[in-house]
Amino acid sequence: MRLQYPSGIRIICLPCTGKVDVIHLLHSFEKGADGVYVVGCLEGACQFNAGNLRAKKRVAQAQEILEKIGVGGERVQMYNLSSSEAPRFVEIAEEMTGKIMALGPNPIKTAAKKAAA
Amino acid sequence: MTAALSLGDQGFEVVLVEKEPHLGGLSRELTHTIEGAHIFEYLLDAVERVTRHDKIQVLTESLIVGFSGFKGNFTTEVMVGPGMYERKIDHGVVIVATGAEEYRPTEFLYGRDSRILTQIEFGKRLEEKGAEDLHHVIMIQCVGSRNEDFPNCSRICCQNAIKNALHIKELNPETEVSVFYRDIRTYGELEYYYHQARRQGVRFFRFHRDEPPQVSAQDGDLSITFKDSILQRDLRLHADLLVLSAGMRPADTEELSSIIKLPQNPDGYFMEAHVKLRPVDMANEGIYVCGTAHGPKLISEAVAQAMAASSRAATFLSQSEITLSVVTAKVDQERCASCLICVRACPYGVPRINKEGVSEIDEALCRGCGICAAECPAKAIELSWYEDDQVMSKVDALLEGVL
Repeated sequence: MRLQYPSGIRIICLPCTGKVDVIHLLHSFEKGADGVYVVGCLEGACQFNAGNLRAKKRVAQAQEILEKIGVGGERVQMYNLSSSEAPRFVEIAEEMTGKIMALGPNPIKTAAKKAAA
Repeated sequence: MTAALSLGDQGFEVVLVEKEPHLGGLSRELTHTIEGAHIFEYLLDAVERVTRHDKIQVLTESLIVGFSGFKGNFTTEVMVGPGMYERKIDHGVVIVATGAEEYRPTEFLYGRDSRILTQIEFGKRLEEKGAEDLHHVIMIQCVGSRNEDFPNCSRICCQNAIKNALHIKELNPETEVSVFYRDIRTYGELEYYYHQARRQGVRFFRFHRDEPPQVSAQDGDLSITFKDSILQRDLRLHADLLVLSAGMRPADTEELSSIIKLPQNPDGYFMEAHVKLRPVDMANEGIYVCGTAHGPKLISEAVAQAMAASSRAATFLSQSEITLSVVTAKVDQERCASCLICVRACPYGVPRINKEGVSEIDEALCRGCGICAAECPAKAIELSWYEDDQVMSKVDALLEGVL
């Protein structure tokens, strides 16, 4: 459909969001990502039964950990959409970008810059 | 039956498992298509050709009770016939065509007055008794569809209502017909029939989802009260018959989908692998879906999809060798603690505890979703192509230079 979405988004493909591990989410923040979001099938319509529900729980776990260490739990989010909803994909990308811009840069990044200086 | 005939004609052996005593499903209740084709004749012809075919075996009153294997190598257990004896069938592919039914309405006083019918019941009534005795027939669209419980449109009801409306006018031009609709969805060339209905004097009244027409059947008088959208006033119409365009519901396949592990959408229809790129394949390779089991559709659309499914099946069966996907999970047996989390987490029941007491995953059966790999607390399972190291290095590469 050649829709435009924000350029700050980097995509990693997986066969099912059920494969997303908490360590993958945390590692992204470790490496300086300002925000991470997991996009899975609509609830009740997972291609592999209920992988997206497992992903939801893991995202919640990651949110708790990130909140506790001061990075901010809102930086990781879970979204659901179907593979035919291209405009919704753009909507989610814009929503997430807006949210992260409002939160500001990843504190780990700012701390690393300060330490380097 | 279309898929069975298509494959049988190409020389493949087909076993057709039907849970009812007769073949045909919902089509047995139907009379004509809107273009005027005789459904029952077509059905009888198909049944005859299927039962006579030397490559097709028909098992009626039969149920699927077990299923295992992978594409090209499935084994299905069937309980056959009224005698209920068990049969194990080895086969290469599966085509699912479990069909659908008409919704039994609870709204608009259905079931409480013999003058309130569904469109299918009305179609039969017109065949048996004609329309000479009818002065005014009222139809209500979108019954059981496009609401909180079933948000989807059932696709076929608008053309069905107009088909019956035109039939009434054909039998008795004096009969008045009023159709209460939310949207008229006679898509594509079916629009022509909507124009025909308007020209023949069928009336159409629009109603909003939140203000449905009110039905009253007291003192022998059947009447509908509604707010006319143009006059913005309440009107009441009296009718001899009220016909409800009841939506479509998928056949009950809860048990089947748990035996064969097929994904369904929230409405209960089977989900195809990809809406545009693999419209008749299911996510599990070697299994195909067609007809109303996949979603509401016209007979012509169901037949077309059946031919597509049999085409896909034939393409697969014609191969002398199959390549299995490399995206499978593998257990590092030395790290496995036999905690059984992978056994429980797998949507397809693939990991097994082997003779050594550790988990083992059959490469041919694994569907490559990676859920077991993510769940394993010891990180003993890796999904090829998506190993943890691979995913992490992707993250590193994408975020290079940020810190």
